[in-house]
Amino acid sequence: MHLLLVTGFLGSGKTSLILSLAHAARAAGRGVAVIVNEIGEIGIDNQLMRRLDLDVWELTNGCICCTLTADLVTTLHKLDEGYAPDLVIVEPSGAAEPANLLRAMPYYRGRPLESTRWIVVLDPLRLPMLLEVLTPLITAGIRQAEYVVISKTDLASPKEVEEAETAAREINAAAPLFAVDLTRPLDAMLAAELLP
Amino acid sequence: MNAPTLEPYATQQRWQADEPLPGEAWQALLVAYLAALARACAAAGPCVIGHIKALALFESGEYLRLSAVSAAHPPTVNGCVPDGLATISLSLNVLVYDLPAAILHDLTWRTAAALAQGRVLTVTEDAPSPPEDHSHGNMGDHRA
Repeated sequence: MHLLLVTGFLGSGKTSLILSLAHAARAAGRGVAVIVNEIGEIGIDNQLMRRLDLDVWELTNGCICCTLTADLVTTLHKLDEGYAPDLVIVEPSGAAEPANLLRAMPYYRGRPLESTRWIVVLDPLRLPMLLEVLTPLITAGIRQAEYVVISKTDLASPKEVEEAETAAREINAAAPLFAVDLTRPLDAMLAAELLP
Repeated sequence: MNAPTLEPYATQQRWQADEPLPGEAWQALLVAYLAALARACAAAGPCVIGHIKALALFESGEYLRLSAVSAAHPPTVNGCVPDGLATISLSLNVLVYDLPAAILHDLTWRTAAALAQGRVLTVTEDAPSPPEDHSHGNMGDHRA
């Protein structure tokens, strides 16, 4: 079982990227499950994913990085025992500090994880503002990610995209970075690159 | 400076027109609603709009998902509304830093009422929709 963590601030495009990656993985014959943690009493992303025929497990009543880390591990056990997907995609809420999730992984005792990958999604329209007002949350998410995806290239100007790329590289120069329009189907080569 | 605080507000709304409307008319109305709500939040005081998102699921299998992340950019739209509906049930999550949930509640309903005023339209609180059937035989309950 491979684990893919897709993080990013609220509204950055996580769900759109997950939908593209999940469909690419399924098209390649892989069993995919998605674990979603949303802030708020009504889960919108999980309803949409289910409507689009994805297998979704929902973590509710808390934040995945605070009170729900144990629930995440429990859900992974349930998936491993009952469903055995090849790929589990985890979407923490956009207000979560995802490093806490990885700290919980040693408590997972199911089939060994073949790989763990962390992608952060950044919204170039708001990144400069968010880096100013939510500095620790945003910088930590970028610094620890293994891949950076700049979303909304259909809405942002080339200058905004370039500034987001520069800001991301200043924080994490090592992570491969891709700027994408998530309103269009993801390029097959890029999907293969991003999927563990 | 204190760390921004987040009090999420969520609700289920029932949008009822006097007669069936074309799908495009519903879509334009709901896009205008999210844009107006984002503007109302920004005008209510210093805040950071995290995400204002809405979803309507239709029996035909279609859906409309709307997403607003600032007052300066129009909401994004995925999916579409089928033609000929007089009622739409809308799930709404309002995630805005530094505005208390009570204020978000007030802004949400005042903005909807203002939009409905002058139209043959009412907006009321709706009961949450039941989860879609999604069983897998060996894993009946998907809620962790």
